[in-house]
Amino acid sequence: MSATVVTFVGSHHLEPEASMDGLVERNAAAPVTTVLLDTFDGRLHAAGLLAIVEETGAGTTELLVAGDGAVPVRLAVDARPRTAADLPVGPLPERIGRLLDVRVLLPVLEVRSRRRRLAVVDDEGKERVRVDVHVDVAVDVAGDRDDDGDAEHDDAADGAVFFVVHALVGYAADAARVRDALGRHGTRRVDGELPVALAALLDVDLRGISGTPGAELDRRQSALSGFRAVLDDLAATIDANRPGTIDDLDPEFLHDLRVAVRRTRSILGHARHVLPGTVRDRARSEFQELGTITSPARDLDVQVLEWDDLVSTFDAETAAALDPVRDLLVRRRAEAHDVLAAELSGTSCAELLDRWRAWLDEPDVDGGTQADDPLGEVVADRIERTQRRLLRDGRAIDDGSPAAALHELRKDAKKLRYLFECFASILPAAPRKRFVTRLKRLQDVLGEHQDAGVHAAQLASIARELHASGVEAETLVAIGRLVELQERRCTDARARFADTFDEYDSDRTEAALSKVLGKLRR
Amino acid sequence: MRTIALYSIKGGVGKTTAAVNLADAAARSGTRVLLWDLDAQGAATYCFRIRPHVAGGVRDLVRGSDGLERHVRATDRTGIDLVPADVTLRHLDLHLDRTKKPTRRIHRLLEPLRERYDLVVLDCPPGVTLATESVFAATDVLVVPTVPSTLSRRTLTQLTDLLDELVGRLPGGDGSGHPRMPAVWPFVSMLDRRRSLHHAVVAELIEHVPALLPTPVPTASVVERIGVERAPLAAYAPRHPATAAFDELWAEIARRLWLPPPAAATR
Repeated sequence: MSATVVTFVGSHHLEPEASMDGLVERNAAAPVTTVLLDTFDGRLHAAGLLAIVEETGAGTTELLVAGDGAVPVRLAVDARPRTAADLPVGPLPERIGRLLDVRVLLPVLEVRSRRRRLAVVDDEGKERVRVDVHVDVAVDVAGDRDDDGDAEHDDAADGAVFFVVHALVGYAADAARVRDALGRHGTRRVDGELPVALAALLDVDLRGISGTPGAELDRRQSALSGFRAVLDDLAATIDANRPGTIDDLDPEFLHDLRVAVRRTRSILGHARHVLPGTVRDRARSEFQELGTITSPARDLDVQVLEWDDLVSTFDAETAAALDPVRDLLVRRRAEAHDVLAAELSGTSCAELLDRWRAWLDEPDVDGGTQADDPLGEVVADRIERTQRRLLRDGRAIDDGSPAAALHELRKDAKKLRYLFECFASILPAAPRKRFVTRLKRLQDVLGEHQDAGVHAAQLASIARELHASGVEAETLVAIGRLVELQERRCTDARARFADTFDEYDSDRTEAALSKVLGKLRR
Repeated sequence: MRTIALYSIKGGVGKTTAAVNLADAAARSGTRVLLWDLDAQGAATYCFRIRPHVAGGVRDLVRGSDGLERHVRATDRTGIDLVPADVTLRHLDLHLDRTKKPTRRIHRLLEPLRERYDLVVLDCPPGVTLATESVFAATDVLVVPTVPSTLSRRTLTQLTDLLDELVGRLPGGDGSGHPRMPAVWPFVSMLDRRRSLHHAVVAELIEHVPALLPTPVPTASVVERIGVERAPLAAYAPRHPATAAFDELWAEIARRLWLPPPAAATR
């Protein structure tokens, strides 16, 4: 029912007022920069929303939030918003923040033009349809969205005029008349606001770059080609997230980079007899080193991100006493990111990734003894082995087992999960989802146990350090309560482990797994 | 979706001016607003240059056979849609009375639009009628323009007495339907700082009405021009103190509606 927007691309000879009855100028031509914003992984696009910033030559900046069928809103902003916190109090921060979570808004496409604003106005002086006419159009595409690497697309518009027709609720017939008139003048119709239309014309993918593995595989292809496709997809994710991690744009860049590194290591682990031994051994060692480099910054990211939730359960006095701890974590996080940025920008990291991509791009490589086996067979074998090991290790855990045993089991579970994620395209969807749901329940308990234990130990270490630096006693007491809270979380998770594992180690898990393996080997 | 109603038992206190300008301030802060003109005079409709026409008349509107959606019109202000009024609305009570659960009617008509809008602003006629009770049952907050005069102050007391009387009779008062009676947030309207009586009434309101919205709207000829300009103040007087007052008034309402209260300490 709300405004729907269509862009028409026409020749500069087309005079809109002369071609359409009742169209009058509301604003004379003026320069405007129109910037389409989204998260790196296209969360607004996925939700059917658009965030567009319009910067005029007069120095005003407005944010337009719209979407297919959504009532659009337009508000003045001081600068391009990056997070929901940059928006005024009201429903918008909640609406956008729910989608963004910890991600920031980044420019996807920037359009510079001269814009005239026209409208069909009735005898009450009410606008019934709006038409923005853009000329002298030039486009910049953000580097990560630009397939051909040519950031400037001034030639895309090529002297064309863009008519953006905004239909208004309750006045659909007027919009239809304008659209028909433009259609009669040989224009090309593209749905959406100007930057969306230009994205379509320039083949810019607005879906963003996801951290989810997306290699398209066939279970009958050779194991070597399948494993290489998965590793290539993961390498692309590492490459794509490296600049955002170096610039510390938001915590998800490092998260996605780190998970892609871990998945790479895990898949390399499963690639014995598939990949050539020397290549595999060297890559495993180098990616292990890369993963280790990312650990301190990610651990501190998590602690800082979870801080508010963690202390929200305390009274204001205790929370205030913990301020020195938060400040220390924030400082350490910044330091860890500086170290990480230096490592990721360094030549050894760049060389590793270049060498690795070069090997993955090589057309003909020799593999191991299973290289030519069908991918489905090999993946089924790896899943079966990993599951066997997980069950063996889990069954061996009793009340007296050390925490390290649960940590090892968590690693087994991750290896299994990564197999399901990286080879998802050859696994049957329904049993895969059933199995992963059960595995995830086990992983959640193991993750809670491990994270709470690690956080308790880190907080105890921080307490010792702050004690030595002469911090107030209230802070030490408050840290003690935090440590206690984390230890309780750890103990609770441990108490839940046995039942959760029993639930996992059951016929229903086995049934889902059998269906997955059956399909792979068929 | 939150619903506020610009309401006063007394007429001529600036309800429509406030409805139009608060809706505009809300939209300019990123809120998707539906303004429903419930007054047969159609002043809000006129201010947005929309033709005063309710398709099928008030009978169809109240029945809701085609939904409220078909009556919605976009205004020239991005983010504000409007359900226009026309003179048939003078029979609103009559047609409400012919429906089942008339006091739930406005709430039910708005329900399908819950996901589409963040805020509904009801511009209400003065007086106490069946439609008033239906507005109360649909509304989170009654925003009450209060001219700093003794008579206007008196109607504020009458309103709170009326709500007390209605508790238990309106849906929700007996534990069903609408979860609670609307809150009453008055604000000072048409303040003339040169008049000592205004100062005295404002001081009394500050002392005795804790829910009073702290920003007063001054009396000004630029505000009265709204009927000539047929647009919200921000469109023709963006830097005027009255525009700033409505913006601040909206910011206060938004904070109360959307900012979570401080979390209760549990440990």
